[in-house]
Amino acid sequence: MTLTLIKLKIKMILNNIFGGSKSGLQKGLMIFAFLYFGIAFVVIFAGIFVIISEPYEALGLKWLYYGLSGALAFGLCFIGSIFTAKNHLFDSKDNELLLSMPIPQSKILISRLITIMIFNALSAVTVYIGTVIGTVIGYGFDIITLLLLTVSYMIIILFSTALTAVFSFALAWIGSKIKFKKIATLLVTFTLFFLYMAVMLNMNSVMESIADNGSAIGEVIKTYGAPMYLMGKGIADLDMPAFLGFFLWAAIPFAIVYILLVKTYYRIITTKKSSAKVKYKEGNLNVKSGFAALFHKEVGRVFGTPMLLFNYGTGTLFMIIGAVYLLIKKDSLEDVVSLLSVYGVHSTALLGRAAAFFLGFMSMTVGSLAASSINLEGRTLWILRTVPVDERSILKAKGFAPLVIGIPGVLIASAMTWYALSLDLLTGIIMIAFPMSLVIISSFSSLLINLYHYKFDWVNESYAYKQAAAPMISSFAGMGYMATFLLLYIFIFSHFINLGTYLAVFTGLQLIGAIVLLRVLMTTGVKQFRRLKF
Amino acid sequence: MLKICNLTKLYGDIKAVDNLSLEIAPGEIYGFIGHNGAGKTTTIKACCGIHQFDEGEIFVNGKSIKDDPIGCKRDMAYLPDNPDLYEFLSGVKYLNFISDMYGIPKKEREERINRYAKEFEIYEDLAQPISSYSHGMKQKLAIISALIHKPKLLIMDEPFVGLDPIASHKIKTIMRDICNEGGAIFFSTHVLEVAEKLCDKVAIIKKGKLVTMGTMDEVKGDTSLESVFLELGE
Repeated sequence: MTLTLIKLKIKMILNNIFGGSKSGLQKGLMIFAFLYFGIAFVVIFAGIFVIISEPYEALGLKWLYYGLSGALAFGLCFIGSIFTAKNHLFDSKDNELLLSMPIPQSKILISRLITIMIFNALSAVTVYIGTVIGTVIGYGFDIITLLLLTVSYMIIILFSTALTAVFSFALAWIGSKIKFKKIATLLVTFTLFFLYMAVMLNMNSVMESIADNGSAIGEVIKTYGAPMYLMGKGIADLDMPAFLGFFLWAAIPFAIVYILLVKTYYRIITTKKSSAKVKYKEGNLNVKSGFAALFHKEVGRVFGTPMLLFNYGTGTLFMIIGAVYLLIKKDSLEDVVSLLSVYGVHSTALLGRAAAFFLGFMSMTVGSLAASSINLEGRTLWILRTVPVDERSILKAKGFAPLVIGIPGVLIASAMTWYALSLDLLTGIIMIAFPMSLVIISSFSSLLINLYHYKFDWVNESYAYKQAAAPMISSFAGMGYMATFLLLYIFIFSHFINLGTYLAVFTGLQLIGAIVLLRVLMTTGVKQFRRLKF
Repeated sequence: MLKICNLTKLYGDIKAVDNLSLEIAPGEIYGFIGHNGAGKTTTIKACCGIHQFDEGEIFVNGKSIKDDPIGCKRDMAYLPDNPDLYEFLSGVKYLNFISDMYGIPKKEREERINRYAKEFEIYEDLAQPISSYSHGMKQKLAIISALIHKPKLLIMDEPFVGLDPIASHKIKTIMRDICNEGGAIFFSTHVLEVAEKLCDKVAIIKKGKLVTMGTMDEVKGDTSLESVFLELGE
């Protein structure tokens, strides 16, 4: 029974990702993307653990090597699954159906927890493989050590699952008490994401400082990070009492959480979740024109869907963060060059190119928000089909909505970059116009893609804007476009013209392209909109 | 008010609606009955401009849905069987959006929103997100959004599903009021008793074709509408 429930849950999740009407090519591309990123992470982690293996052993901190591996894995599992845990444990759409059947609650609960554990395992496996590679290269092949490491990771998965279950319950409870739940969700999501990215981007320097200050850090961890210490000591010194202590650290919380959840699970999932009520006040209605109302609705959908805003608004945030960093480093741009040297930027003179490419790439991602605009209508498309409004207004509203998110960010980031790099007036203006024109052309082209590759029968909204055909096509097309732009300049045009001229030419072409695309949307796009079947 | 002439709609090789013609005059409540998959929803959606159709023509208040879709949509409102609404909006914001679509002045929209919301007992929940509404509340909100611009033609697909008895009674009263003011109602239903009591005229569709239509007395004669429906269904 439990196995059936687990299989059902995994099948549902995999169907959301890989299933539906996706073609073989789309599925293949998705699998390729997953494997690519998985292998990339394994390589990164393996590199880190190979680097620190020798100095840690020399310092007598071999336990810290394994402890850090465990902590990293735990962090990935925890941050990666906190919202997933909430969805699968408490918000799963089949909870009530299963409860109405003769299935013990404990089996439903354990199947949910095991599903979360499986996804935690997928998060942790990249660190695990990296650690194994580091261990074999740094310390040699030892079957007992590797066996203990494997068992440790199983324990970490158990512990992280328990903790995410508790935190996701807390999130659900807090969400029911606050008025501005969507803003809170967005803030938490962005905080966790930036924490995650901050750690990943600074992994090298974090590990270096850990390697340099190993002894001091080790003392702190011994005091405040008992599970890490016990795990590390258990594996490094084959200290079984320490390993048992680590096991108890994980198993006891898991057991407590499981017992508590078994007792309260039924009540938690069947109690109607109510949000703090907003009181209706008469007389606050604003009258807008048809187009303005449609535009407002499109923008409202983005800001009213935290995960949608997170997926497409992150580009804007990255632009601003990058520009702020440049501003801070205005008088020491060589530091920026050393950070970007892995990407081929070896002098301050190349920072302009790097900034243009970075701004351009982020602008493309923001513009591709429109690639899910038609999908997101879903079963509500009847509303737009029955109101007395010209389809051109509908498509214009959808095409221009991403500009609200993208343009302000582009303006701020470009202006800061201009100042930070002390660019001349003309280059500075082009540095602003180039990404703006990219947001526009990306938005219009993404909308056109979505008109021809649409998906209305999604159950989970995130499928419409993350996994459906149009967002994927738009995303890959955007990457391809930016890669072409960069390669053309590096290998051909940099020999004839300067960056400013190149950007100006592309800006002009993009603006012309945007006008043409808008015309296509207003003619062929309208006809296609009328043909949409739902 | 509504004139359907030789409507045909194909899905591949299958004729979902086959050469259907009917006419609804102002002041009439017209029932549309048929088994599941008979073509009721397809016909209704073609009338509302949701689906394109392959042959025939549809006129709303004398205007062609093909040539003047916006003009037709201004005069009518559609209520679907399943009220899929914008979950990210609150109830009042959704009604305000619909009001903007129909260009209703501020004073009128405020008055109508407040009046209908109190009538259908969702006034206190207007500021809540639609995602928090029950099915019945969403249905009521959809009804209000259909009534807010005082349509001349109200087209409804199984309007009584999910409504409590009070709300059902209210909507029947509103339907009669619309017709008394010169409007018309065209609705599909599986609840034959309601159709029998409410409708002036009825049409029965089977496998895309009209099998009978006329006044209630003409169609059911001395028997019940249920007997006629079951007999025609064989």
